[in-house]
Amino acid sequence: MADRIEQGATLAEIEAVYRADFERFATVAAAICRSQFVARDAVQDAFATAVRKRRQFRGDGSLEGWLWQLVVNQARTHRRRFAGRAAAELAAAHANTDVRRGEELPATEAAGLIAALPERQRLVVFLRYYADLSYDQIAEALGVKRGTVAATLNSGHASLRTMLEEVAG
Amino acid sequence: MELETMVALEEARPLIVFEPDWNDVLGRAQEARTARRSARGVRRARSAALVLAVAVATAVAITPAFGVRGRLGSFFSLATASQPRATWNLVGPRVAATGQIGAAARLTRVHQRTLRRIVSGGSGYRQVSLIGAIGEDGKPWLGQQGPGWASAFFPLFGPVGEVDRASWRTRTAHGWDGWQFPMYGRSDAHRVVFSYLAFGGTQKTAVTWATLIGFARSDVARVTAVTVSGATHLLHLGRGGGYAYAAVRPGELPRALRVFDKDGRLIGLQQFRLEPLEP
Repeated sequence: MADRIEQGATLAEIEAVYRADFERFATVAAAICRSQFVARDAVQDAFATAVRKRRQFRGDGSLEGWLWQLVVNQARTHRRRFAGRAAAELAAAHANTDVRRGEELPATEAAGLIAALPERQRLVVFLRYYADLSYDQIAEALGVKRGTVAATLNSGHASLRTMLEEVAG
Repeated sequence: MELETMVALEEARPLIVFEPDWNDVLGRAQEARTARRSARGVRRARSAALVLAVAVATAVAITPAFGVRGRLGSFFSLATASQPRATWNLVGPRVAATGQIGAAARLTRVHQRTLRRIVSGGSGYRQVSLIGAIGEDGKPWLGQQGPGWASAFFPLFGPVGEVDRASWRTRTAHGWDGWQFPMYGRSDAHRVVFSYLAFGGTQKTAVTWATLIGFARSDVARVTAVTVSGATHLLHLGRGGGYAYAAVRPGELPRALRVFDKDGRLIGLQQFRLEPLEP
């Protein structure tokens, strides 16, 4: 660990996390960006940043936490930058909504409900359920306290429940 | 967490249709570095490059006179840049998901907006194209298309499903002339090339034509087709490593495919037995 604190993360360590968890990174990024193609760019750019700045990783948190932080931040930036593209993709997806995705709630409608959550709630929900991160890991990725994660997740559940009841009613 | 909320989250879970690409990450990192560097001093870099180029040119020009060109060559050959890992690149022009290929894409549930023509070979009714797409599993799938027909898509890697088996003998509008042959090397990620062979003949007793199409892994530098008469043809490798070979006479039928890396080493060999298939 002392070696890592002095030298930052190695290329091999970053690559190992990328390969092992690519799908989780991509899923969360796609949920944030609401466009899988924009999400791809976000994940690739986030890891490119990690490669460039790997010596700046001080090792006082986990490497995974640092990488999640980069991916989430990059995805948020990309979402703002490519909002038009994401909207076009979403519109196309809506037009092709497929019955096999489920009768109760088409994917785009569910995504719409989740998109209506406040940003912090949304991010916590994505990291918890799409990336399967623990409260501590989410706190590290978002730079908040563990208690904040728990409270935000609780609020997210409540908001979603309310919205689903409204849709059903 | 309540079931309804869980269901909503699952329904909204994004479907990922792309694969990890570490080389792309490294490329982006390098690009950003280059951009930063150029912002710091493009002129200084240009001047330095010019001086270096003149110095190298001068060295190359004068070294034979001093008998040191061999050493200079050795110096360059000692450079051992890290080699990129071999990858499969399913690239090519976009294909509209209409007609039979669109139906095949819907049937086998590949993403219709990801259809790409990797390579085409042959002409007229012997023409065959290899169509790549991203499946619902986020992995590459392949299908074939010819004039008036299209096969179902099947996964490039992984086990062969029932749909794939059925597609092996998709009859074309040309009867016996159009019987297809299974994809060679499929489900085998260790192969260096993936080839697809369509063949037929005007009589049921003899094969008289064949169209071979396929694509090579990124570390492949050269692909040659050996015909039944012993001739060797160097196949052009397109963007993404696609290649094609068309035989319209029995003597031109392909017997084998040889695959070489950039150092000229034989790294793959496929042999073909072209025999009439019973309908």
